[in-house]
Amino acid sequence: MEFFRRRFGIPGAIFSNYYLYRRGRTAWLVNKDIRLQDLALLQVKSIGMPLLRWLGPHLKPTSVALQLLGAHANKNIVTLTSAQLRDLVERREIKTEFAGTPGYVIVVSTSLIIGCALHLPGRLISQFPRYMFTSQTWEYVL
Amino acid sequence: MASLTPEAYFAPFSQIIPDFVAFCRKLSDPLPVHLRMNTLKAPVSETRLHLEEQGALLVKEDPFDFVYRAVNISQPGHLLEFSLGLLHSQALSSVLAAFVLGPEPDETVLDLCAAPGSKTSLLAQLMQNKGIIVANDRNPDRLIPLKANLKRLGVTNTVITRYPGQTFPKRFFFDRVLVDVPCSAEGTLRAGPSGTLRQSTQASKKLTRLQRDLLLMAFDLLKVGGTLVYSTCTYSPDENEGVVQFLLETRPAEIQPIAMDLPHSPGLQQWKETSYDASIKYCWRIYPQQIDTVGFFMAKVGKGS
Repeated sequence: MEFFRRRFGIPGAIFSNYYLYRRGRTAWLVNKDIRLQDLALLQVKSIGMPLLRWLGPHLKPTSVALQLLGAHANKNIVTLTSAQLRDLVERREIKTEFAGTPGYVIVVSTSLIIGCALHLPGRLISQFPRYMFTSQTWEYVL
Repeated sequence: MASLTPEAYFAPFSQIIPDFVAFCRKLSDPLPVHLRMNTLKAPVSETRLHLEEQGALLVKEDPFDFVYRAVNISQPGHLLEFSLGLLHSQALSSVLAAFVLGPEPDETVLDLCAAPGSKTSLLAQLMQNKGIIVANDRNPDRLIPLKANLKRLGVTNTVITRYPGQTFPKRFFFDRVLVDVPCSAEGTLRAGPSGTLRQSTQASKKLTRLQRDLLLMAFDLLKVGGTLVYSTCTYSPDENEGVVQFLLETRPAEIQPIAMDLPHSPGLQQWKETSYDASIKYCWRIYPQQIDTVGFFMAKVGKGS
């Protein structure tokens, strides 16, 4: 949880209501409940929500975790216009003047927390899951 | 079969469906789009404001504070707000089943036939992501949308298992159990522009047997004093009252009244030659001319000592 505090300023106390499980390269966030121990009697296929993944020495937060926890963040937040967000989703990479340190950032647009991107000097690279948006997300008019 | 009009298709049920003419007429209307605002991600007011700023026309569906009929949204899956898990497209009848189960935060809940996870995620919302939900579905292909929906909607209190529901291990017992069984799904049928039904369904004895087995197991997994909801989206008495009757004959189950003030019809007391227990009148039959949603049946069941 030190990663979330250091990188995004998300207080460690936010995680006090959760257990973290690691399976393979993924850590899962699950509501803290002592009775989960009893569920070890069952063949569990999945538990809670994916929080982050280990990519070599790096930790990569999931977009869904940032959507849930991102409201508690106070740094490494990149705000995009709707047009910039659409560019990021469609081209997977855009130029940016964001001045923060390189690493993963929280993307916000029209006051909505969108998810995770990788910031490298002058570049922003989408880490959104491809399934997150449909081909008509940007064309859909009410 | 698929070219039948509603009148012809549902003729065998014409004696039990109230205002059969209005029922058939309603089936010519498209199914309305209902949006459930996901309070695990954002307050209802914020999501509603986002949608209305884009021109969405939303009508609140009483008594639910978080459900709106979307008048001018035909494909909510394309909305950015959908992708971000701020809302879920969910039939009003599906909302009702979870609401009637009435889980409290910190309880243990089993959703025995959980995929694709619409009701499971609503249960998590009602429980404020607290307690434990076990979301079970036997079909590995159906676990994919189940996992995707729970992830998108920010659910953190759920464990997914993949047992055949009728043989779910009796190692852990639950405060509440939802068993929304596979059914012939007649309640989902609506007529196309030609005035005929788009598809047809058929109940089978095999399906009824499965429904009985699922309900018995759901009941056996319930703690004493717990609550169970059995639901289908079909009108067939064999799949509804018949299955509940079987439970009453084999287990110490009690059918409980559903304390909500919404249009519905009571469970049947008789179908053809078969009579049902008097308490089955507490079950709810919902027809689209009563509530404009998928046709639905539900029974609220208690477990005494």
